[in-house]
Amino acid sequence: MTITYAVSRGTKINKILPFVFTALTIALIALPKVFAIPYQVKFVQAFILIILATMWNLLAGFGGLVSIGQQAFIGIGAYSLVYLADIQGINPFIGLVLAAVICGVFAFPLSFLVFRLSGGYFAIGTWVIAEIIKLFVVQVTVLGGGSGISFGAFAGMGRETRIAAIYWSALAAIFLTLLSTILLMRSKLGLALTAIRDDQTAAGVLGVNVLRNRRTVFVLVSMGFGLAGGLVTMSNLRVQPDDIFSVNYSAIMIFMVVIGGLGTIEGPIFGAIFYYFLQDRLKDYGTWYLIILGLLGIAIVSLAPEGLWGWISRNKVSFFATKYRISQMNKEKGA
Amino acid sequence: MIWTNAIIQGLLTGGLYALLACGLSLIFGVMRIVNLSHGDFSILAAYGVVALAMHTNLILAIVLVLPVMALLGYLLQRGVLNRSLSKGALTPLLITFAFSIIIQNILLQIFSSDNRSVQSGRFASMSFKISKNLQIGALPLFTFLVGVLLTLGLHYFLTHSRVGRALRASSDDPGAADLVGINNRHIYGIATAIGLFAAGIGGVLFGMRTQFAPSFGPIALIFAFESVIIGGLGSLWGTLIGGIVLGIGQSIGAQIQPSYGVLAGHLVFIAILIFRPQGLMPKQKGK
Amino acid sequence: MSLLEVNDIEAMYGDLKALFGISLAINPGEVHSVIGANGAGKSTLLKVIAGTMPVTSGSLKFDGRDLVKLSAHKRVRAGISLVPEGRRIFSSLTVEENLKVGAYSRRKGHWNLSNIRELYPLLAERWERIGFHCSGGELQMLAIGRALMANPDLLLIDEASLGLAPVVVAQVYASLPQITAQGTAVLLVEQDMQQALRASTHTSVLLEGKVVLEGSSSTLNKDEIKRAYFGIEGRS
Repeated sequence: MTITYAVSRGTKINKILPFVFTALTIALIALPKVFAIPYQVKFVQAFILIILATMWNLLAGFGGLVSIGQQAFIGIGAYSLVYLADIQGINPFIGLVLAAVICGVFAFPLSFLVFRLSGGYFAIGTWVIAEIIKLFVVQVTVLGGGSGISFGAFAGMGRETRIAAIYWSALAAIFLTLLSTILLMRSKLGLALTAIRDDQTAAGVLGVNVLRNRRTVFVLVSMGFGLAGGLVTMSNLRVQPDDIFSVNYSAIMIFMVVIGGLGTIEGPIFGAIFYYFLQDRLKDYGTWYLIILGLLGIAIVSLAPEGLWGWISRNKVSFFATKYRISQMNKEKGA
Repeated sequence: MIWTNAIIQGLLTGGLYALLACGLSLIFGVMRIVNLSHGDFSILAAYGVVALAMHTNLILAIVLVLPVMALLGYLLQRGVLNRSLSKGALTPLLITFAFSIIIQNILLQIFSSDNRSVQSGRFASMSFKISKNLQIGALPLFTFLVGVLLTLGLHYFLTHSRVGRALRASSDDPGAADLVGINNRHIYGIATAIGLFAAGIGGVLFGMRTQFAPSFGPIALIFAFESVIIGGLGSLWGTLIGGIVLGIGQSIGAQIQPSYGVLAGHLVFIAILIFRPQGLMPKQKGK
Repeated sequence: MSLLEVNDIEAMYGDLKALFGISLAINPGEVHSVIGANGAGKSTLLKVIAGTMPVTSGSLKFDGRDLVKLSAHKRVRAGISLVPEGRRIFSSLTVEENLKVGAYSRRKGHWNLSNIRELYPLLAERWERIGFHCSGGELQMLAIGRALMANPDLLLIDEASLGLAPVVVAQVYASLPQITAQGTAVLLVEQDMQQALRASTHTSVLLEGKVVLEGSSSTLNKDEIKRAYFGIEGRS
């Protein structure tokens, strides 16, 4: 007797999840009407972290590109927003989207430069590029030079309105980035990336254009980072080159993704939320907090390399069904 | 004449960069690990000497700190990093990045963010007058000579010694190295020990000529890295040349405008990356 | 007591069982060949003895010592050298350096750089050549030479003639008597049945992870061997 198999995208959980997500989305949209400002601010911070983690995971976990220089795009996004909204007078929310596009425009030529390196040297290379970009930006006086610049485009807007507007922008941004990530991973590009990640040479031989796919991810991801940079600027109402281009962003991204687990979509979200609560608890400890973070990171990477989410879910549970599963339709006994 | 001076200063600085870089290069060559905390270990050594020099003289402080750096390297490699080698390329990067953060913050905790320097007394200000317009500082010259000597020494070690050969063999094929009796885990520890020893020398000499703070690790790493890439992967002499080219680039840039120094170096790095990505003296395939 | 005593060992190759209770014994100076079809477990057997693959049950005794606990690099020091499948020469080291690193374990014995040069004159002509640039035959001789530099009591050779020209194979096999003359035992895995029988004192035939035939090479019947090799008879 033949055994027939069915190919599906998810498990039983994935059938009810759309309803859960819709409810969650409605709740999140309604949030500013129900909860006071401090909560909205917290959510914005959490959303930014989730965007950073998701994008870094897309680059490293799916694209196989480990970069510690993505703060370059956080910075470019931030300064682009300031330039467009403050100096050019464009609506800041449109400016946010354009800032992301500008990041993509920069990312494309940069990729040619930075792809000449690989592995660990690629990592440092991206960092050096970030430092160089910072050094150039600091030379531009109209952007505030070394001491930074204020973000004044919200002047005249009431505080409540402003915070709510930033909240909804952040919500839209996270929705956009997550949706893009899911669609990307379910697409041909996603499949290509997984193949490249598993075995670059084999993928290449089978006709996958490794370089082009990686470049696409690199550019797309840079736009996500640009959005994050813009949101940070909106939240802080100020940009400072040493902060916005700081390699600490990379440290945090790596930590979140390591905690959450590389290569899944749920993992970074879990990691970002975990990190959010962790830094909330530890921020009073100053330098000790970073030391603990570092030690925790080493411990998790050594002991649970698939991350906490990976360890918990053991790859059986997947909220965002992107992988294919094979299940038997009918089982025959005896042979 | 000013330009000659600038070039010579840059050349001598290159020796320091080569010192900082050769450990990075060695560790990568043997284990394919890029030690993102390499610069931080250099600074750690400088702080170690600063701390010890308060209780004893400078020479003794250096003599004590450097072997400790080597031991630290050996222990970290065998204790933490060896495990990460089988877990893919990401894990060692993450771990060394975490080391970097931990070291910087421990130093910050102990020493605060004030600038420090390694006091070497008259040695720091001694100089030789070559001609009317040309003076060469004793410290930069000494640093350069140490850089050249260490590169020579490492080269000789790798090509003519039993352990050096074992290091190269492990780097080619760890499985085959097993088959000739080489304990790879131990050899990797030796590589990191040497790497951090070199980093320590670089850090101490760096600390003698410049003031430093806990956050200086990353910039030391960047200079080391740029030297390696400019010179070409896999070649110790390339790293020395790379350091010299970087030093000269920075020096010429600083001559144009003092704040342009570091940026000029970055631009040289970018130029190499665009026009000659394999570096100036790349290792031939298989060699 | 034999030099090497393999008793009922089992080993896994990933998730699959590769060896189902293999036993054999070798004495100093003997050449023992292991033949069998692809996938029979011959390489696995050598790897298990060399220590690059673990044993799941059974015992391995070398010179009376229990090997199972000893890691691969320590077994070299104990006197076992493996010439692996694919030779695995250090490609960035010269021929001379490859031989020198073969002596890493610093075991005392007959073999040194100059008599390896005599054993394999072809290597002497390529002394400064980088491993990467060596031909197949040079690689095989170099691999054996490198293993000999450790002055092993037991030399394991995996796929001695694979991919080599007949002339080279002849030279390799011609060197075996000089190796055993030092008292070294040789355990060799060979695809070429004729070559294996000619060169060895004892032969084991492996099929699907089990020894299906063994005996003195000179007295084994060719037809017996063929049947054992292909498993035509005696399958349950």
